[in-house]
Amino acid sequence: MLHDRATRTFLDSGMLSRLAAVPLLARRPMIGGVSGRHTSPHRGSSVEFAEYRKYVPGDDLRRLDWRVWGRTDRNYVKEYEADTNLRLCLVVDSSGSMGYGSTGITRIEFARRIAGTLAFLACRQGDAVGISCVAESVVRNLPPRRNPAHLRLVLDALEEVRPQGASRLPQVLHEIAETVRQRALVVILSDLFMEPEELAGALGHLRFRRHDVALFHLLDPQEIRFDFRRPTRFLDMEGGSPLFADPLDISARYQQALATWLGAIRGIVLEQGIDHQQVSLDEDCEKVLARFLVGRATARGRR
Amino acid sequence: MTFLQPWLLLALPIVALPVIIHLVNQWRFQSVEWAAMRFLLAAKALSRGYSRLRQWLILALRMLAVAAAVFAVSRPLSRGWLASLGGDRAAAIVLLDRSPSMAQAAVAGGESKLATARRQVVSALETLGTKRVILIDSVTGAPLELAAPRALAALPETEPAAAAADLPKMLQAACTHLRADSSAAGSIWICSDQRADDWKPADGAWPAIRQQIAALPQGVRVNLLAATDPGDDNLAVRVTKATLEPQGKGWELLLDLVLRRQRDRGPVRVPVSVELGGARSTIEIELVGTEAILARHAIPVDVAALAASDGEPGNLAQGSGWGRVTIPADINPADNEAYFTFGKAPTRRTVLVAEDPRARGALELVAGIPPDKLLVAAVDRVAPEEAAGMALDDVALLLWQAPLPEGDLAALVERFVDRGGEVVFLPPEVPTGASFAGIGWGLWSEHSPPLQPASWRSDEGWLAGTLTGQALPVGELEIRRVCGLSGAGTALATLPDDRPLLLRAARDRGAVAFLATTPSPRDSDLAANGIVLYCLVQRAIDEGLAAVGPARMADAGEPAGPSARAEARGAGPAADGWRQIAGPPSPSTESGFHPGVLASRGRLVAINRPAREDVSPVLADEQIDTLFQGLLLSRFEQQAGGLGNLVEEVWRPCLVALLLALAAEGLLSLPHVAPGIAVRSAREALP
Repeated sequence: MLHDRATRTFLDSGMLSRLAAVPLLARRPMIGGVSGRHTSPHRGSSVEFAEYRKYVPGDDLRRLDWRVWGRTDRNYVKEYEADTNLRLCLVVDSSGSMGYGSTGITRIEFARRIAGTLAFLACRQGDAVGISCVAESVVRNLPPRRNPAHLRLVLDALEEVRPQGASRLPQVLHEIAETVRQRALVVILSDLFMEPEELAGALGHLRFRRHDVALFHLLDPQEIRFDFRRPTRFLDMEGGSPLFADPLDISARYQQALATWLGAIRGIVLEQGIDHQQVSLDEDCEKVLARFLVGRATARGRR
Repeated sequence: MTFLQPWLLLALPIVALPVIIHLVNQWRFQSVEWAAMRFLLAAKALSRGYSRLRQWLILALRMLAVAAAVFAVSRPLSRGWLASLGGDRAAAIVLLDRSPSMAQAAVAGGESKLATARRQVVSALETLGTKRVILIDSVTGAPLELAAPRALAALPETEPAAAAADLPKMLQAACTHLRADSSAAGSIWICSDQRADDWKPADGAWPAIRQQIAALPQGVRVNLLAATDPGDDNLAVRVTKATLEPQGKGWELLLDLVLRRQRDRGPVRVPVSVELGGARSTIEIELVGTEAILARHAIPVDVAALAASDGEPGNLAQGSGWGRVTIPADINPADNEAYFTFGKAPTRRTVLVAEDPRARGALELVAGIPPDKLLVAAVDRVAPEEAAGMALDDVALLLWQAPLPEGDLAALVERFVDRGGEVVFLPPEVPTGASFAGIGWGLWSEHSPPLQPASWRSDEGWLAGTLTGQALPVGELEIRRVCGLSGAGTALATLPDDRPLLLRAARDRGAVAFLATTPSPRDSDLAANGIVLYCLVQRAIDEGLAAVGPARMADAGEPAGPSARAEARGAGPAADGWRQIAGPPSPSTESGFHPGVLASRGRLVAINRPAREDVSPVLADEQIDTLFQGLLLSRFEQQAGGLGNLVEEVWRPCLVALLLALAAEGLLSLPHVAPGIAVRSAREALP
């Protein structure tokens, strides 16, 4: 599947093989083009019984339940769940702030690892994978495709993306919500440094379009602790004006603002039913993905 | 503010050190690329006001701490008005009022005003680092240089005395010393209780003193340590008169006492102890109001036993003695005792030298009639040409109506006056060019109608009114012939043309007076209208007797005292023969200034505080300000026994300020963690 494995520094074969045991499942019914591992809103031909329905003229007589006719002299059709494939839309924030990292790994690198691994896993189980890299606009967009060759393009896109410019993620999410026609699993990887109200609107739009939304919220430990000691000139990675401050003076207020913001984000994801993964960059990427995949596997079945 | 080590204030610029460190810290900032700018902006917006204020507060507190440390090591002084003393540490002049009122304490047995002032001055001068101290005390009045301020507390010249102070004289001595020694101090410290009697605000010397102090090149500052609290529970006793009179076959002592207190506190019985010849008796005197007088309290006296007890052999022959009156202790021990002397009244002896028989007759008559039947008067007539051989040893008055003495005769009269004798010169028929005490006779002038005296001193002196306030009929005299007078003196009576009728020459002791006419009927009606002449002569005899009698009572420090006379002769008290036989021990050089009894060659003198010390009011601050108008005066009110010091080092408050500033700075610098954000790890902070 991967012909130039050596160049994909953000993919770990060991991690891929270990995570392959856990399926990537959607929490919501997907409408796919082919049969797959994901629940569909339609009745199909799987082995999993769904319901009995009264026969109406035109129904396939092969699906008539003769045992029920024999017992009750009534015609019922036996229906089964349909299994289909899903569309995995990876939305990677490539704004300048994604280039930050104090633990030896930048936020964009962490996002590459997660997105690449998920793309590989999805492709392996026959799902379509697409990617959108967004900054001030959509930098790179690949619609979901099922063929393995497309995975290579996706991984190329991940490898080539560079963090720069300001972030207009909410607006791009609105565009994605409109352009992805059928239900899809939308995985967003971002630091979410934006107004919570705008984010809430975009996520609401995606939910309205019945997309299953997963959110990887990537934060650096330094951004959480803010344990600078010396007066510091902070250079905005998204091109804003630099700011000079004595961290000892503003540390408390910073923590207060951070807590308020995190509370707002948490409120939004709870309200929208978003699969929210708060990630610190000093965490192990495999554990983060395992937590994500296992959590989704246990939530399967809701239609 | 004054500092004992002001050069350490040169380190004051290090107060800016916290600011410099802060700026250096700001300059060595680090640049960091940062993603979460929104939180920084929010934090800056939230903490802009408080953070800025806190930052400035911390800086201010650090600067305050450094400044307090610098001030503390510079040893600041508490008194701002002593700022000018910073450069005057070389020397200071201390004027010490040692009058009896300065012995008053706040409570009985407590520290006196004088001791408190002394202690405070010593403390202040030591704190200021004064190296030389020049003491001018009210007794000696002469500058005395001390090696160190602490010597003030140990010198006998700083102990209380019985004599009143003379502040104008002391200030003049200080001015003289400052003029002579331009390197001396620029500050005068006056320790006094502001009694009008000591300050003499009406003294004509004050304007001159102000001018002298203002003209001093070193710019003198006067620091007045005023202890003006008069005290309201003080009782004073005084013997106004002690006479020895025959009673039957023996003698009895008649005492006149006065008890006086500051304020009427209702009737009270005061036990007054009278000590006489070693025997003590007590009199209960009821004091109603503020003053009680005990007149002619009789005490039988055995003259022989008395003379034996006091060990003064001369007294036996003279029939004199001494005693002491005391009252219970109160806040001022200096006025709780009074000494008195008594003796048989001496013969009122007058020597009459007159060339005009008619004048001689009148003068002999007025001098020979004693004012009391118990007194004995004698007049020795001496012809002018025999005057060189006259004996003046026990003479009280010399009446001289002849050409003024010259040569040895003048020296004889001079010695008589120095001894305390009184001389009245009357004009001779033919005046000569001679003079005595700077005064000589002029020409005779006749007046018809006769002249009548235009003015005379009726308040004091020989022509004063009676005790009941009636004036002598001086204005009714008729002066037909007047002899002119040349020379300066005090006119006790003047004629309408401003010529003196009675002129008194200035003398330290004794009296020399010139009467410009004679009692001869041709010259005046002094003989016919004899009241004036009689009073004049008898009063002169009374004053002369003070130096002749075996016992007398004197005010401490008065010019006629034994010490003053000794000084006038250029010899010490020892040469004069006076020695103290009663009273608290005192330096022999100040024997006339302390209470007690002095004896010399059979004569006794009781020394007591002046009567005006008991009644002298305290000058108001405004009056003091007027006296020092135009000068740098700092007035400091002190209380007897007060524990405070005039000048104190205030480095302790500086250290307290330093500690408080550091503590406050530490509190403000504590890292402030917002509630609920106690971050231990990044993961824990995440939901």
